[in-house]
Amino acid sequence: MRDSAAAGTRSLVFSGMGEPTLDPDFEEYLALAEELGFDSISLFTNGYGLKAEDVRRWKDYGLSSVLISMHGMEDGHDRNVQRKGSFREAVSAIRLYSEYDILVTVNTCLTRLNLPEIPRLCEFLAGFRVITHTLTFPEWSGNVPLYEENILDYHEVSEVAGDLIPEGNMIAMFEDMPYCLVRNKTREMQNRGIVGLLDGTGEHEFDGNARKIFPESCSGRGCVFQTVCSGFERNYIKARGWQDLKERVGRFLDLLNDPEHGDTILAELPDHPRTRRSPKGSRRRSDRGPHNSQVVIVKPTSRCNAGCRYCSSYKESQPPDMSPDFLDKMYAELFEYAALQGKKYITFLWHGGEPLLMGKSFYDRAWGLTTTVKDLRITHILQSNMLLLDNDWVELLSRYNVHISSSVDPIGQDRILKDGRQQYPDWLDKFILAASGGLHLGLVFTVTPSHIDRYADVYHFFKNLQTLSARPLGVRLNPVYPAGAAKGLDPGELIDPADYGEFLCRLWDLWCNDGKSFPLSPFTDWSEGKGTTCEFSGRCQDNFIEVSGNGDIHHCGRFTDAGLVLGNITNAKLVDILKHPQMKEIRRRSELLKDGSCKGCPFWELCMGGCPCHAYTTFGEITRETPYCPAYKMFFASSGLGSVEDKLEVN
Amino acid sequence: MHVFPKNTLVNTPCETMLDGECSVSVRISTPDSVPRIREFYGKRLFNLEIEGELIKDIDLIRAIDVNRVRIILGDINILEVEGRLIEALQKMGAQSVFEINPDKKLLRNINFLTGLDILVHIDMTKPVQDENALLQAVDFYLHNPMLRTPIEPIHNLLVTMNRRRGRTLWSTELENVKTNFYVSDQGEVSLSSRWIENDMKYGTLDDSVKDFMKSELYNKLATLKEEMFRSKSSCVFCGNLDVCKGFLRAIDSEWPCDIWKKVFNILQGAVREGKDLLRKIDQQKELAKSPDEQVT
Repeated sequence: MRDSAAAGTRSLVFSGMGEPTLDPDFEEYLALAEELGFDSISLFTNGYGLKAEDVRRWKDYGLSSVLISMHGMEDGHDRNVQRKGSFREAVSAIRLYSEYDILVTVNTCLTRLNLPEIPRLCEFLAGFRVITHTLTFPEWSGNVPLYEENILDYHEVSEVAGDLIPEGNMIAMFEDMPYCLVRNKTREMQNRGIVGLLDGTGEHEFDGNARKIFPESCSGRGCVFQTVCSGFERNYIKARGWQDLKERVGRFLDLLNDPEHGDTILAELPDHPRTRRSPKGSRRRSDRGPHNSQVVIVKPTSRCNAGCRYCSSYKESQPPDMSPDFLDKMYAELFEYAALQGKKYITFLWHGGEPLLMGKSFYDRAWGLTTTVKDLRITHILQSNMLLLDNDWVELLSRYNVHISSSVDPIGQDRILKDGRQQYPDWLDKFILAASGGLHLGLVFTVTPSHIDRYADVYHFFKNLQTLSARPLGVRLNPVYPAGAAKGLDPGELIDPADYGEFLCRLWDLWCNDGKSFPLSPFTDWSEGKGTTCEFSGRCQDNFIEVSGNGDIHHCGRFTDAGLVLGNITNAKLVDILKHPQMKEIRRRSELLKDGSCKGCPFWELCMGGCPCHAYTTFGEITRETPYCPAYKMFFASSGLGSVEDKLEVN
Repeated sequence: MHVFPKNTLVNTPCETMLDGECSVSVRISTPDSVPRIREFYGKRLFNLEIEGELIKDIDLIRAIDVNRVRIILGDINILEVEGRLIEALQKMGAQSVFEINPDKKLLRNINFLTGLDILVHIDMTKPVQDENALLQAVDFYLHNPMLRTPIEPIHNLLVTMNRRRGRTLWSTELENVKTNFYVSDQGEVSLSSRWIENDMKYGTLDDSVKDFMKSELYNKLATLKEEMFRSKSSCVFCGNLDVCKGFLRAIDSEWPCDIWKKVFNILQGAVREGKDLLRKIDQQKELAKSPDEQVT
């Protein structure tokens, strides 16, 4: 490594005949690589035994990208690598590396065993922050001759290339597949880089040196794609012969030389005059959006073990808890609705009251029931004060990969227990338990008047709290609003929009000057150009519903607190319930505001009128703009986020 | 006797010879101890350490024939030591470092030593006696174009702030809990001299690692961050905790660290200024290109 660095090498890859992270000195090597100043440090790994603390340390040592092997879905992958549980480990590793902004590439070695699973795997990986997924035709070396019956023929891959990588999928790409068999889905073309794999050009004879070989017609008929073609695996040809491959190559060259088709094919070639390049840095984005995703807020109980003074969910008369038997009915109704609406993703946000009061067996059933659901990607989040959390809960939450969102206030005096003591000390113990247990945690901070002048303390507390967690902690800001227990607060205890605007402006400055060092909602979304959290999306009606313990349906958690019931799924179909006039009103809201009170507002795209429930609880009208409009306008004007220059940059 | 693990650095008196595979930093007191230490530790000898008035012992200095020496200057004014000593110090080479106090003499000591290309390290565990001198030293580091030698820990702080990763103060100040140990003249084991001075120790050389892990010191260090949040100490609301990591107030929660916060803020400002300048230079380069070459 020292010699390479001294010779000017800028990139370093840790690979291995086995798993490099198993080397006891791996971290020492990584530290040296960091010290030697390589521009990029990569790791080829299977994700074995990875922990968040490892990723955090390795990121500090400069690890910039990883290549993770996944050779099928679940059992398929485990069978391929011959170790039970390795699929889950690899998935967990992808999540962890992505969370720390380490670039993740996934490699899949194509075999007869996993070929039918590949479309499902590609679809599965689309839900992760994977920058490249390579589908590799195996090299004829190592263990391959021992498992020859599982090795595909080239034509078997070629015939299903379009199914494996559909048009528009810019993440997946073939590796070591000849260009003519899969066209522009090769790694070389997807990367738009010219590679020099010409070691076997024009050869017929096996010389035993070069790994790749090309039929004579490639050079004989002047195939211009040879510069971006991987050629054929020499030992494959040696073992199985050319089969019909030369004919396939010939048919491609016929097309290439045909005036009618040639131009279209040539346009695929990098640097060809007719080539149309992808925009710089473009890659397929996740297709997830309100049209195909659904957030279901479930409030299985209204009971709570705390006594927060501004609790928006507080009710004097508490409805009964959700029965475990009701879960089947709820899921059946929701999944039927999801299928009708073409939803592919469902996030269940378990809310309350305090949802942990429902006990472990309730959630073991609730979360267990969703593990066998096909065709839907399901995530569970628990909004909890964590006061009941113990090691058994941590184990249960880990088992089902449930994320926790929790509110905290280290400054104000409003988050208290039933006996009037402050929640913070107990909360901190539980937070440490959750963080040390490796749970995914997010935080919610309710802004009250007591925080306005202490904006710096608020910001630094959440920034510093990151040091107690191996995973990054996202923080969401919410203004206190007059619902539930907060209805009884004096007006002076609710936040004035001008003060809230001032608070946002000051916090924004700190966050920006600090390099936006942790995810802070809604700033993170706004700084990316558009409000994407529910209240600023303008489309919350398309993908938010709430289910209460007795089966009542509300539009969302805030509307539940406000008491606006749409119907009950024990006596009506969800699809019919959502035809309620209130939902129609919310649907019309964006249009009404855009042409009404928000007309001409330069910040419309970032705010979309704000939360309809905030409008309802303040003005009694859903179709009004958010009462925090003055706060947001002050913030957008001060931050420059809504400026013309910024819009141009965003577009 | 306790055997410290491989990959640890143990600061020990020259009278205590440590077996095992750990590296050692040996505090020497007499010229004749140097050959014995070299022979016993061989490649395990990381550096020698001389403290206080011993620096004036020209025979001792001349006896040092290793090229890594740490000199704890303490209250001594480097200008008061005689010329032959400076000559001997210069021969020590670039790996030697002077540990200096943040007192009135700070800038003069820095000026003199860096002028001779000798590394200096400001001792952050000592109270800042002259805040102005420290700020002048930071200014000297940031803006003196003739300076070729890093002034630690300022240099490392700047680099870490710029890259958003790197060594923490616990590491630069040789208090990395995983790698650093300190053996007192009485055979007590601790993290560093400041912990011993405050009667905080892991145990003695006769204790095992398990004993160390049961100690009050180990428990304090292991729960330092959590305790900070439990007690809602001012550190959890501090904008510099990501730089300091609790190092400055690890022993005393009332330790006066405002001047160091000022230094951190100056360095953060310098990083921002530097990045802005580089961005502007890139923009100017881009504008200087012909329209066809510009990246849109």
